[in-house]
Amino acid sequence: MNGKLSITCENPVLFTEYRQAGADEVILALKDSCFSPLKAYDKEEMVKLIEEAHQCGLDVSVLMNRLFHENDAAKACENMKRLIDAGADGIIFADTALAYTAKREGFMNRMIFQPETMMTSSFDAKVWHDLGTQAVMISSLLTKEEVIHIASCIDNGGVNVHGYQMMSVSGRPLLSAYSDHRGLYPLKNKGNLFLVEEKRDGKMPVYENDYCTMVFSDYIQESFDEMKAFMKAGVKRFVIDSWMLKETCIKDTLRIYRAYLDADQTEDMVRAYRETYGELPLSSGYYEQKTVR
Amino acid sequence: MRKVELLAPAGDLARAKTAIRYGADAVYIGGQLFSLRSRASNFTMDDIREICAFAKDYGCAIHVTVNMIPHDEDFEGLREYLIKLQEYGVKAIICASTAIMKIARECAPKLEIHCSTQMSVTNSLAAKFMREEFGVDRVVLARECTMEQVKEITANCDIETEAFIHGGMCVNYSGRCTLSNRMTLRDANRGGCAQSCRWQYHLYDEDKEISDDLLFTSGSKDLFAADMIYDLIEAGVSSFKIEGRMKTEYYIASVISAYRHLIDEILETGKPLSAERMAYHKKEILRGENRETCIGFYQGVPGSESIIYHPNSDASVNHDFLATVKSYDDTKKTAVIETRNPFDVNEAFEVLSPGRENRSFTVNSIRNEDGEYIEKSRKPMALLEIPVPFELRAEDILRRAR
Repeated sequence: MNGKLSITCENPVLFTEYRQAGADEVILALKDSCFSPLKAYDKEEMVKLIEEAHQCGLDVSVLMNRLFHENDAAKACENMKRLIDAGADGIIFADTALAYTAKREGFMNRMIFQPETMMTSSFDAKVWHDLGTQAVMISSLLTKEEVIHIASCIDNGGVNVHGYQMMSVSGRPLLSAYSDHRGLYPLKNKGNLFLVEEKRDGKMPVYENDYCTMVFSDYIQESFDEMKAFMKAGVKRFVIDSWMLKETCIKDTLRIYRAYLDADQTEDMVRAYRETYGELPLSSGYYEQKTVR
Repeated sequence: MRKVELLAPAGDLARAKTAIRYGADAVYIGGQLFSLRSRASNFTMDDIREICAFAKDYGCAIHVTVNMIPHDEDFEGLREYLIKLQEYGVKAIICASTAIMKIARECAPKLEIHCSTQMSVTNSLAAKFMREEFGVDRVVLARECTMEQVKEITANCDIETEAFIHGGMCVNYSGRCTLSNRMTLRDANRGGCAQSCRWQYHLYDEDKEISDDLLFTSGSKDLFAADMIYDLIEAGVSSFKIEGRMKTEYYIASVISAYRHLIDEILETGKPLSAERMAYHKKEILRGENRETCIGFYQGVPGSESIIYHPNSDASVNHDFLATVKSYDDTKKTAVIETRNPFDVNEAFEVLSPGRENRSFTVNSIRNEDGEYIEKSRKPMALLEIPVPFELRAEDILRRAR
């Protein structure tokens, strides 16, 4: 296989359609465990969904990318073990407490390390590769050349190829605080909120849940032009974040990345996609622009 | 009570020496490579060697931040750098990259490795992993930990903990914010943070702006955790960290000195200080602070009270730092001072002097470099002569008496 195509999913009814559109795996968010605005499921719901997804021919990775506090880290580890026992194919994590438990329990090969902004060198990627993880997610802050280089140094690199990218996460309820200060209506767990910097134009989605406030990129990462190079470099995991994308768009997106992975003809599909979704803020992100110190 | 480490920041050699003189047990500094805070002056290799020798005379330790989140090109010269740090007598490096930790263990095994707050350690299992896999000697706890969580983490892991007690706070999890990257292409995780969290933003609910009266912003007030010191000592926290490698010499002297006195008084009495004594120490600490403060996460997740919503939050810049002493003539009872902020004849001065109680006097006359008597000092960095009724030492700090 040229690589696994994985997509976040907020509606299990769509498992079959996602599979038909080309997904190999769905990413499901576990309740109380995520820095993510995705709809989240509790542990027992997740156990059932893992089985349902498997019946549709889909792998399941569970999103548990929160930083856990002392009072809930042990519970998070217990939940993780339960889901591994239930057949979860991967656990997406950022907190090394989960790695501590996974190593002791002997399932590091299910662990997908996704520290967002922190995986920016092949040296760090190699460290986590050598720890026996299933995948190491490369930061979306890098140029195309940097991503390719890191991916070529390990055999389990992953890239978030498509969707809004998380730009910051705060442990504070920033929207609620602002709402309190201004006397506005509740803004927690509310979709369709956007920030626009005073002197700029981009609309950055912002979302507050029980654990954090997240600000997302004012663009939707798109990696069609980079796919062949990424595949050649040995990227093994291609992730689409479907948050805020419409269902038809999600399926069209899946079909194109699937076509790349299957080495099918993609030019016409990409052209049609860009025409159809021309109103979306699609962007190559940092692939062509390197940040400076 | 057991001794704890007061850990001070320093952006250059002069400020590091000031921190040491005013009572820091350890000072953390950044080299010109591999460190965040690229706009701090940062230390040359010669500076690092010099400050290590200087610190040794005071029984003080030097920690060096090697805390950037590196890209591949940033590793060039790292091994040689770490070997030199070890050779110069640096006690610890503060790291946020597991690859840098591994390299340090291989090539400079005498260096302690402290896990940077950039790694956001918020529980003891995470700390244990860092210990077992990377040989970390200490974790700098994430600023998102409450007092209860700090206590439990410290109790539940066999590794030293370090906690912030004062200074600037990222409103986002450290290391997990790239607002600056997007706004300015400056890499926040390699020292280029433009503090975009403090900028002003329009907030929209779908297409309707809901920030028309007051734009959204999220800049945090500074941490001020003097009230938590006793509890942190009781919790077993090893090191008490003050943020501020870009702060002034005056800030360093006054804040370090004030926390030194506070910590020492708690250690001497072995119990929480009275409200009156706490009020005294807090007032002293805030003499060096010119920004609004909050208690951070220590008493729970902070809300709107922790955010600076109004623009121009630095409007109340502190003008208390008046001069440093260059020399004192015991025969003439006069001091040559190097000025900072304006002052007039007949103003009351207070002297900050390492290891001494603060003393006050009134300036009866001022002579400029031409020997002329002047009524007002308005020029910064001017050398002036003033009469002082008691002995001063070079590098003592003069501030406005209150």
